[in-house]
Amino acid sequence: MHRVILYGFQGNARLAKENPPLIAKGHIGLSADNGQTIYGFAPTKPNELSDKEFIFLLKRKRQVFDGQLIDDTKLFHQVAAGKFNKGSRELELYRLKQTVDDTTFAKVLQQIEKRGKGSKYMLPHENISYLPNTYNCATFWGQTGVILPEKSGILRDYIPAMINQGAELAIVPT
Amino acid sequence: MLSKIESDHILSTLAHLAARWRGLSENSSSNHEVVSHYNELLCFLIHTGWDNGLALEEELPDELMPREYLELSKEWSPV
Repeated sequence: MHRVILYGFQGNARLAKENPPLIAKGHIGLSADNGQTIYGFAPTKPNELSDKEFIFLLKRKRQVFDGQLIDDTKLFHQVAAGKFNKGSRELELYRLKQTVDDTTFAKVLQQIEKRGKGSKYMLPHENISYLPNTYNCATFWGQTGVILPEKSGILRDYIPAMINQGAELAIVPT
Repeated sequence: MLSKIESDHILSTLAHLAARWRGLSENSSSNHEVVSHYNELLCFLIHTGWDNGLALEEELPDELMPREYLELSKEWSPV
């Protein structure tokens, strides 16, 4: 048996000015090495789009982008350290440990090895019956057999579900 | 002012409405209804004194967001 750790925080647009877009969006990551490295699934920005244009498109209807796994360890560490907090408005990073079998762990490592290549990204959506191989940061790891705390991928529900299942506040993500 | 449980419930509903809108086709007859419910709920939340931020996935495109929210966004500055 092996252990993986899911990390997650709820985004807040109010804390996002001049900060990475993921602060506005919120993010989920997974570590397969006890927190030393945390990978998050994110859309690949088309070269022809500016950051602002990309965010504008993400929020529109049925927008699907190529996805990629990124080493987001630094970002999660910064969130845990309170780098983006302003006054009483704070981002809280939670971590949820999970034991997985050999097959699931091998699939997790395989995704990390290929950096999520071949998977598509879309913001959480409803009313679409099935989009093959399309995920957001919260649902991506479900394809490996990792048990997701919540299925929709909507972080406003996903983070509380993590907490209900025993997630702890990560002051320093170790 | 709403309790945290109450505001969290509204924020979750807004997130689901935004996700529902994103999944609707452009010509769906439900578009207007979803946007209308979303705007009504967000305006109610703002009128209770809520001034925190939504996450990106909880927002609709700017042209569909209520004026109250856009004005609130403009006022947001480091606290």
